[in-house]
Amino acid sequence: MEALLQRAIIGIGHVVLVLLVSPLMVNLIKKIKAHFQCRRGPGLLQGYYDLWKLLKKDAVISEHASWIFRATPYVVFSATLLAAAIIPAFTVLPPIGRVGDVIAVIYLLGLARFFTALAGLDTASSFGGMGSSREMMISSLAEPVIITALFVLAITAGSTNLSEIISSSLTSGYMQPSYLLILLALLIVVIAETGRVPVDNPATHLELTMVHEAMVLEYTGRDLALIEWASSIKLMLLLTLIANVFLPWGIAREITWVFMLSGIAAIVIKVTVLASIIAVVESSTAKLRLFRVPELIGGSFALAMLALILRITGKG
Amino acid sequence: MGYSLGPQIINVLSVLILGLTLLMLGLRRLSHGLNAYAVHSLLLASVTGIVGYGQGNVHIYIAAIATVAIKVVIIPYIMIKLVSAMRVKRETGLLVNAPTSFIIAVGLTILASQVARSLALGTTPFDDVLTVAVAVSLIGMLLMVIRKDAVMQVIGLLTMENGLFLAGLILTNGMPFFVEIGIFFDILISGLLLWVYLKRMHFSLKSTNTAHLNQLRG
Repeated sequence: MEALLQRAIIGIGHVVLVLLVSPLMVNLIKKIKAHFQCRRGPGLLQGYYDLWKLLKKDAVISEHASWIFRATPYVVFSATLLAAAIIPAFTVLPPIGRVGDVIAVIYLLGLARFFTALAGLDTASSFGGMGSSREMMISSLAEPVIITALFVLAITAGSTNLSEIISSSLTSGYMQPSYLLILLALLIVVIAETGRVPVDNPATHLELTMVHEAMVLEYTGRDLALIEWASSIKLMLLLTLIANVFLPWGIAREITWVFMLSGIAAIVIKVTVLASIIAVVESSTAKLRLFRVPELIGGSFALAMLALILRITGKG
Repeated sequence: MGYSLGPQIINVLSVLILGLTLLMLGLRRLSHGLNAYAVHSLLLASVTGIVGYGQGNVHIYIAAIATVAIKVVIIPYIMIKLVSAMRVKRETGLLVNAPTSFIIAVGLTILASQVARSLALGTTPFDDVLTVAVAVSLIGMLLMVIRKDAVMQVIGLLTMENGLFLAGLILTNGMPFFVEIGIFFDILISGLLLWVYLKRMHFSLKSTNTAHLNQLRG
């Protein structure tokens, strides 16, 4: 009974941690980018203020919008949060038991993306449709990369369960060649998936350049808050995955207060470092033309495939 | 540093070499291609150095130093000077686009891993390295085939040579001293010859695109 209670507390704590830290990470990236542009930038807590302000406001919904448009923010938010709940953050124990594995994560993210694209089409605004079509093009390229990369991890660990994947990378070492290749592939794909600079620009509302922002252009008020929060959770989730699989140090292996607290500190530090890397990449590269994006993501797919080849045929 | 750490570092470096070779397929700018080749050779030199350390063999160190001198400094330097003097910034002709060439490269790597397996070493810690070496030679050949620009084809040729050097290094743990010196002399001379060739080509065609070579008449 006590063990069950412990598990429940860990699970709830995990979800609360993800919910609370994710807006901070997005703001940290904004702050670092502002620093590179010689601006001071908004304070680190601005993300929370924005969410709070938006959550208090009413949503304005087009009279031509169907139920899909209304349901999408809730579907996107809950699917993303559930996916984040599957990925262990500060302890190797699975946060919500053995309910989900990497394949469930891929499908939950796919569900969220599917509904976002539908909602972009739903109001029949030309921007939304354009955004949806671009998003689908990018994600159809990026999804095989994530699947291949996670398969490499699953083959290495002999399991698709994320806590076993992380435990195996804790024990068998992180200097494996195939891990290095999928680390590169996943970093490229994370940038593409979360709409960051070489692929998309999260800070602009210029019609020619935006992808993700175009799809959610029609959302206001609390709906917008949920969508923004979901996209920051998605960033956090992918960074947590990379951090824990490739830099597994510091994650708690036993249920004691010391291990738990150091695990939380470790994951926050690791995700902060990765977010800073993304901010530096965003500041130092120019946005690619849309038709150059397949080259970038195709390259990362090739890296993931090479990792799979080395894993299957060699010692990996 | 014990030798047990060595194979791991070599494996990681060789994977970086493979990733860089893949990157070369996507590069359009000639100077970027030459810089990538210089980094490629630098990684190769590091692998050579580590193998030399593991074998305790002095002439492998010499090979590493020669790699740095010839392939990291001399050849990229003269080529970059030539390219910047030619004012040809990026190449125009590609036979297949970058994503397709990545997929072909993946296919070539599968082939390479089969070849590396059939060489039936199995017992060395360097299985991946042999795969990488064969794959790098094949991708270098691919680079020569799919690019129309002569500079890129030269880079492909040199990359291929890097792959073969890596394969030789891993299979023999360092070739005899005079063979190595011969190879380096060969590379140096062929680099200079290709340099002259590119210069002449640009002089008479005002371009390094090999598609224009059919205009060359006495």
